[in-house]
Amino acid sequence: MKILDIKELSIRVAAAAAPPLQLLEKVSMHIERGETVALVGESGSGKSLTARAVLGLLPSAAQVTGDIDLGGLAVLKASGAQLRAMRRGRAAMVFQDPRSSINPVRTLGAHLIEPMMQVPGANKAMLEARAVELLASMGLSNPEARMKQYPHELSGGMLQRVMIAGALMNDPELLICDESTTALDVTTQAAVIRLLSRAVSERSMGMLFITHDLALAASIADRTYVLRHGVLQEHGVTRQVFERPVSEYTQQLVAATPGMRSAPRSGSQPSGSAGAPVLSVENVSKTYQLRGQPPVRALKSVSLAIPAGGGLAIVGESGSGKSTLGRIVAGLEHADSGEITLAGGAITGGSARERRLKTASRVQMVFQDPYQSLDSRLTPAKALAAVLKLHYRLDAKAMRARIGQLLESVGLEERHANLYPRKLSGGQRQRVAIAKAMALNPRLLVLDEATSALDVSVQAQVLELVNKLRKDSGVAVLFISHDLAIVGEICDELLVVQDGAIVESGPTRAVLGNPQHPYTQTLLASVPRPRWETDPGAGTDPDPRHGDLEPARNNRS
Amino acid sequence: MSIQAASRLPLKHLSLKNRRWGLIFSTSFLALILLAAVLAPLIAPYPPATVDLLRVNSGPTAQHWLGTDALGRDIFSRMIHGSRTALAGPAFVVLLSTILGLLCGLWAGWSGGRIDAVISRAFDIVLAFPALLLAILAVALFGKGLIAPVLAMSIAYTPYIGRLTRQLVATEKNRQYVSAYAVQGFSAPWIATRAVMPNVLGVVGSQTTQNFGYVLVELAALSFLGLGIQAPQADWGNMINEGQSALVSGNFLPALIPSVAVVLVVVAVNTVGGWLSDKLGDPFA
Repeated sequence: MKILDIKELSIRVAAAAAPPLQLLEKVSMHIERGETVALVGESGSGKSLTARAVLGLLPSAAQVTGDIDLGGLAVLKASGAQLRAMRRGRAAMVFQDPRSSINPVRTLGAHLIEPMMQVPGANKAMLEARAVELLASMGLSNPEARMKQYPHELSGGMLQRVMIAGALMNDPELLICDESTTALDVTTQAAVIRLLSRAVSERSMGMLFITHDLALAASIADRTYVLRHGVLQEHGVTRQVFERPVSEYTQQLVAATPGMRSAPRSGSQPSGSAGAPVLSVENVSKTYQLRGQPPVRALKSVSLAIPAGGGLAIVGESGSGKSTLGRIVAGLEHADSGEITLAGGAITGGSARERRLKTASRVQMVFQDPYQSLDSRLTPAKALAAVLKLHYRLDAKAMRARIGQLLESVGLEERHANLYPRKLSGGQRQRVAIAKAMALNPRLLVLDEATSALDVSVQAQVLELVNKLRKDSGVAVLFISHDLAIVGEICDELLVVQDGAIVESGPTRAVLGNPQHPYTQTLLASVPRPRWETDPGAGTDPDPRHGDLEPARNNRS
Repeated sequence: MSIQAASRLPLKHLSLKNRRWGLIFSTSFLALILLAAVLAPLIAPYPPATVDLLRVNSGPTAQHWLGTDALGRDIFSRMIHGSRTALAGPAFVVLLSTILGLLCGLWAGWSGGRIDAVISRAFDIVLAFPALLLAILAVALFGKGLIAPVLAMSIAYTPYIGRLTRQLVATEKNRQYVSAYAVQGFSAPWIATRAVMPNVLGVVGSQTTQNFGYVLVELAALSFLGLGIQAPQADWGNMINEGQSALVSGNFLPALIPSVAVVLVVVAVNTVGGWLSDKLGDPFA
């Protein structure tokens, strides 16, 4: 029986003076009871808009045509009261970031119960009992006490479980998950995915799982729809869509997704030459002391070395200290103890300004979010000119030539030079950030999650660019990432960190192929894999607490 | 069409147009006042202080468009001359307090810690005094006139700009682009003044125009109390004060005209200021 049936849904928005924007074009899809359907696509493809349309949450400016049938209710024609009743009863949604979709000043109990109190004849005691039961089934310990807790007392992963419990309170027939695990660590993501799959099969509800991550879709969905620029590219049984994609776009997506490609591209790296290391870190420790809180030991006596031209990946979950290490190496923070030595020996003497410039010319950094790491007031040409002016004496002609050359080396064209960042795509912005870093000819490039904010096809291109730069300029790379699937693309050596300490290290292939430390094994096991590759029984772990690997943390997400 | 829909549609259009017309009116009005202030001696039909006891409280006539006051002085001429102090006073206060506020706020927000604590407490102390009280205090210490109250008001308004700047800078400081500058070897003072400062100016600018309105009213109040601009010099505030006596005898124009002018200028400045900070606030985001 179809729980959701969307027929030729088209949405366009007419702005005042601009041509109308076609956001969705004749999208048709359906979901059966007990079925999980993935909707995949890159940012701007219209996947979240589809979800909002199903719940009748479109902005009033949208012009909608087509039909949405949700268990007998024609959503597009329904009245406000009917829609509210539907959202209370038939359908529920779990959003991406639990922390920004929950009211921080209300208790978790209030979050779970209050929406249901709107229903006539609601019984508070019964609802409370149900909420406690759901929290327990989500693998949260001590559910009665949790009801009185506030959102800030829970980690992101635990909070997302509460959000799912909230979505299940009304026993919906359709659960919509919009990137619900994207903000979570990989082990937490695996646990939440298990909970969701179990809820779907136990309650025989339908689930619409929206994600940009093809591997994740492959691990959970029965059927998959691929959306691009508001147009369905392909749909069908998940395995078929991913193993034998018909449309060109799906083929590109699959090819760009690490872990789904048939042959990993690793191994083509220039291996680091012997000799003086370009970076050596010895026994570095760092402790953060926040007022009124126990000290956080971000790094515990960490040592590592990168040979000239080498590539080292640091992998760990949020709060593992990997970003702190990157910032210390780049000189943004100082270690409490230990030694950091960059190629060319210690930088001593000279004025503060000389030391600063010397450090910058040896190590450069590319940050995670290119939407935040570029100054919105500077075009690429101006941003590069500012850096070059600080470090070199160039006349106007040489400056222009160098800027052109740098932009070309990162695959940007002349016409991008004078566009403000808002006119550039995420990938283009990250290329600008890389060009800025390479402007100083550094010996070491720190990439802090530099591809994790990008769409998968763009991510592949940026990784390719970094590999090309390594080959051309011999720059060594320290690649900080949470994503085990992509580190093999770029680095020959791998370090796994947990709670500020290195737990395993070695050649990337060896560590990924034969992990020794239990934490590395857990991380690897949590990487989403296509259902058809895993044991059919493995997806339905009866005990949710198996996934409860998350250390109890406060406030760090 | 139902009544509801009929009444809603034109209203919607009106409100859209209102904003544009309001802006055009406000800009023209301010330009006119500014022009009048600059060219006052050239365009005023009479000297502002010439007393004509034969024509007191005349009401509008062909010779005196807005009538005369209790001493027979031409109100129109006095309004034109008075616009000089009405605009110059607040302009100086806003300029001084914005510069001071930006510097202190930037210093506090960027440094954090003890410096932040000291500057912020200083702001709190200044904020505890009403601006008018500080101005009166300054007058008591340094004498009547425009200079002492303007300086006192500048200090009184510094915390409004300073606290806002401090808050914005403290937030901005943690954005990734600041780290990105630091990694490239830019010094902290360079980043603070050249990169962070321009990014907070838009918001600060809108606070500045609001302050202009408040200061205009408060300086006029000071003159009204007889502590600001001194007679016989024309000023909107002391014109309202002098117009009081005529008010009792039924001639409301001498007090009403400067009062209306104060209101109109404040509204116009806020309209133009709101538009400016919308436009300039974040043109690149």
